Amino acid sequence: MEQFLGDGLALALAGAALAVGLGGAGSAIGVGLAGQAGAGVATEQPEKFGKVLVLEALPGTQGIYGFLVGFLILLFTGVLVGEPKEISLAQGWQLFFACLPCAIACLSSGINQGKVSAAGMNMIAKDGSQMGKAIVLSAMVETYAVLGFLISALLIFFIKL
Amino acid sequence: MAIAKTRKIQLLTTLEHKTEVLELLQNTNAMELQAISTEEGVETQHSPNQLQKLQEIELEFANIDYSIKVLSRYVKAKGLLAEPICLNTDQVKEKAEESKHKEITKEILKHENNLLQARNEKAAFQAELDTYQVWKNLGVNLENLDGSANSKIILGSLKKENYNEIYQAVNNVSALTSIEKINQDDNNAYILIVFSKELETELREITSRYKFTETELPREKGLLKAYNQKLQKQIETCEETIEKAEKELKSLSKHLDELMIVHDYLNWEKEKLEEDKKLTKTNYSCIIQGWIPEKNIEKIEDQLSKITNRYLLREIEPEKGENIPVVIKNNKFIEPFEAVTEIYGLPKSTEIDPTPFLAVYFIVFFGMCLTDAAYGIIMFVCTALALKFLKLPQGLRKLVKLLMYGGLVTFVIGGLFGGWFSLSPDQVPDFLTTTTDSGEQIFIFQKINSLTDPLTVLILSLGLGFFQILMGTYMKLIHAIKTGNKIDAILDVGPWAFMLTGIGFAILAAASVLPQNMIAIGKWWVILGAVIIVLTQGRDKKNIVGKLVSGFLSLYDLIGYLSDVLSYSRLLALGLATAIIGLAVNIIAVLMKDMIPYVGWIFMIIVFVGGHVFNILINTLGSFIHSGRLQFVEFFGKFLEGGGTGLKPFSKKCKYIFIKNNS
Repeated sequence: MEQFLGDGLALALAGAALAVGLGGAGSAIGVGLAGQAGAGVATEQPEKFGKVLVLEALPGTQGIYGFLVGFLILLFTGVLVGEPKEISLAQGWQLFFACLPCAIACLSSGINQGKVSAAGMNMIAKDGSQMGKAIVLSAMVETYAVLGFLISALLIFFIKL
Repeated sequence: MAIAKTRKIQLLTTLEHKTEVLELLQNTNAMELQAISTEEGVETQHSPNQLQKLQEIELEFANIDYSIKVLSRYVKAKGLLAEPICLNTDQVKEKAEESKHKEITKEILKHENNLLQARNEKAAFQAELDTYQVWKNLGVNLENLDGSANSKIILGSLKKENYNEIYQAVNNVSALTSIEKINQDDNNAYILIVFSKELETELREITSRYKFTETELPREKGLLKAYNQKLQKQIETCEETIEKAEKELKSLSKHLDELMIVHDYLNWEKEKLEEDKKLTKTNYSCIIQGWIPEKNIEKIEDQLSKITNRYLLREIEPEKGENIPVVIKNNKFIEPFEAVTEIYGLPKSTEIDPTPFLAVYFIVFFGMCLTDAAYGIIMFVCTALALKFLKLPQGLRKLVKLLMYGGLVTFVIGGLFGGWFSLSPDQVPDFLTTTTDSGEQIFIFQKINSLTDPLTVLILSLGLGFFQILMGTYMKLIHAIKTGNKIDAILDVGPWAFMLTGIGFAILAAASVLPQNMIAIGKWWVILGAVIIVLTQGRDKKNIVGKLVSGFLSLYDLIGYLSDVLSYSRLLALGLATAIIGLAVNIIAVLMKDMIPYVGWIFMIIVFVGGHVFNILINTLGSFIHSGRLQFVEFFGKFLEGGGTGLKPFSKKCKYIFIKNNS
């Protein structure tokens, strides 16, 4: 079993776990924060539910970025198709570190985007036509998750297995 | 194109034509009215007569608004394809005036009041009943619960585990006490204690020791059971009232369309009265002042002359520093992109309208974030159908049309990048693929593969970004030369435009796009640019040292330009995200087929369709936002301040009906 799996696979999987887990945690907290604020708006003005939903969904992308990085690891290590490749310890560490930019950036960005979205709920509660501005403010925070994801994805693409 | 010219005009007319003229202005949707400011400030008083009329209309309007809300509960929501109310303004007026809306709203308010009152009463009775229900076995008449001259009775509840102890304790006090359990539920025992009055202190001590909570029963005659039955009966009466009121409201809901028409009509009348106070009046004449887009002036004069010849229209100069309302006007093709500009807010009246300049970038960036030809086709078809078959409000129409363009561009860019539902070339029918010279199988039209060759896409993204920022800088330069102090404009912005162009030239030379011998030229160009920046940017400082130091410091702005360009790397990241989510959906769909015997293909189709729909939705939203952000932050930042106020023309605003042309 041991020679079949190689030494580094566990590390690669730990990286995938961190990316999916932390990214998901960031989004879960962020969407939660935005959702709580949004429920208040939707109670008073049910007709704004569509707008509330869009604003609530914004901090959800970090979870997706984390999931994608985890998915790439599973794909490139061959775990997904049931034929794991042999991965050395060094390669394992490389994959592990490759996951970190996305994991850390998504955790922090998800939470903070949730806060900005929640504040944006106040804007649309007062005036529905301010929706675009609320979205742009919230999307500013997402930039850093996008950059983290970009570096993680490029690293995974270019690490030679 | 760009910002339409807005003029300030005054329109003098006789008081007898005032109503007609206001009606005309409201119909033509042409100008924004403004109160004339005098030395004593702005005079905006209604005459008592008008004030009363306004209050009346406001009350009627509020009643109708409320009635519509009430009736909407009883009418099934209209489907998307249902025909909305379409009338011309004359028909609206006619229908609204013959409508007996006052009687109808009165009726609705009456029934709604009955309904609410009955509901409240029912809830109160129900709460009472719930409290007394546990005492229903009480065999004592309620009037006897007050006790007699020497004895007293208390009722209450405590935790059922404590019942035995309190039973012992009470019986131990004296022979003149008695305790009885009336009822018991999951948690509590409900008990009755009878005792001689002189023992009250001891008894109270015991009851507080066992956390006994005393209950008051209603001071009525007869058994509690009978009282409960009375409550039950009252609840039933309330239910009947509720049912009756709901039935009435349901039958009244046939007037909903009529009320909606009156709602919008009254809104127009209300606004007309509100605008009226902005007019300056004498005994026989009135002056209407306001802002009007230049092209509307002729139209207004043309229609005015049909009403009367007793009017005078003249243009006046805006006051110094006055905020001129902004109208942006673009041709039919560019118009949908105004939706993007409006999210940021309008430019100031002295600035350029960015809409035509951002259009191409916005739509290309949008396509690059999606990069899936199949998604592009789906989006194009859906939005085109929506435009054809749905009656959409003006603002939404712009947005949907923009998404339709987006679908088309996504199809083209997706084709170039080889994105077809994120499938690989060996998974699709042969006619969609072709073989390259090196023997690799790729999609037809495919030029780049973003999954195996992300660096090319990254360079493309940054290149487009650099070009857009360069364009923004030149736009600022040109606009500043046209409108402001020419020397300052050239010295402030010019060096940066020169420097950035040089950097672009040097990069192209270094990347061997330009001939080899251009590298040296590029190098000297950049150095010359840097020297010019150092020499010009600190020129407002007093002494020569200050000038040079702040000149050198301004070179630091280069970092800002660099980070702006790097921000465009998100185009690659979002494109990758779409492709990889699609890939994940495909792999999971195939896993479904392999894992589940016999019916696996059904689950495969469900996962495939559901997954890709999700991917389209989430990434269309993401692409739109991030493509927009690149315009607002990176592009606008170079040449636009924003913060203009839009022209809010005096018009007939509709919430429920669509206005057809009178013809």
